[in-house]
Amino acid sequence: MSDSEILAGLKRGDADAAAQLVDRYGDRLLRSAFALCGNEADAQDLAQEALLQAVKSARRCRGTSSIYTWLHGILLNITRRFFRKRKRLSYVAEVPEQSTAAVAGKGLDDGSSSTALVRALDALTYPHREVIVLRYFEEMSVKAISHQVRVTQGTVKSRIHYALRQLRMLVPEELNDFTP
Amino acid sequence: MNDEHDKLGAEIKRALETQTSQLSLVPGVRRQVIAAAERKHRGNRWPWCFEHRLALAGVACALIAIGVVLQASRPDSPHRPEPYMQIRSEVHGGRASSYWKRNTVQVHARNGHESFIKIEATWPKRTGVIAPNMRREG
Repeated sequence: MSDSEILAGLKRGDADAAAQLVDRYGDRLLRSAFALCGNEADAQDLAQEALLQAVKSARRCRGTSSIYTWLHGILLNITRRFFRKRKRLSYVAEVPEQSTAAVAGKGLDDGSSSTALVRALDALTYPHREVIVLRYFEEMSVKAISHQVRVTQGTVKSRIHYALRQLRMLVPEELNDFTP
Repeated sequence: MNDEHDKLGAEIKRALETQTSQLSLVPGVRRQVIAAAERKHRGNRWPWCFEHRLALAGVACALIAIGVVLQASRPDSPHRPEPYMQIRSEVHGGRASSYWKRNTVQVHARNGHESFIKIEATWPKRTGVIAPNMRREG
């Protein structure tokens, strides 16, 4: 089943098309959700929500981009809403300010730069994390990110710059070979 | 600076791929999505989708409008429009010009008199016969 057939099937409410959508893009979407929120349980919820939303609103999809781009756009909207809601609901005790030292300490305990890097990503604000994931994990262009996130290209570049600078500070020095 | 960015970017990608490589959707998600599609399919069938309901509402409104018009146009209805008539031009003893205004008609008699007389006409007939009064006036 091609992408256009999947989309046509979704518009009709075809269960086979929905199954194909999950089989083809579900895991990829989950990984992206994990990269965005850093937590597997939340990532499962976000991916499920995005897929359900896609099935419900397939009629509105114009088909100008690939199915995955459309799906990912839905995921970004849902993730943004999720973080906004969580910000409102979270208790103060649950969200201690993650200092550089704390993150660095965890990184050192794990003993690998990649784990330290992922932990450092957790310490970024959502807008910074979002652009980093889109730029480096999804390998999207600055223009595509600005379109997806609905900010200017200049803002995207600035967010990437500050996010990378913060990451460099957050990763422990002995594991940090990104700076000359 | 760009090289540094690229190096760090590549490292981020590698780190995230390592972290997420084992992830897969739980089976419940697949079931939920398929169930949602099936619900949508049921919802698409007559007459439950939005377009169908809109069409039904349109037909209902049209029927109500037709009913209101028919009711208002009954002879005993207070909403009945004014008689709308056109008088036959040839009448006894003279000539009646066509008047569209209410039920008055201007009559020109052969002897040169002119008068306005009331006539009776039953809606929706559009012609009126005014013979008795005309004779008197004419």
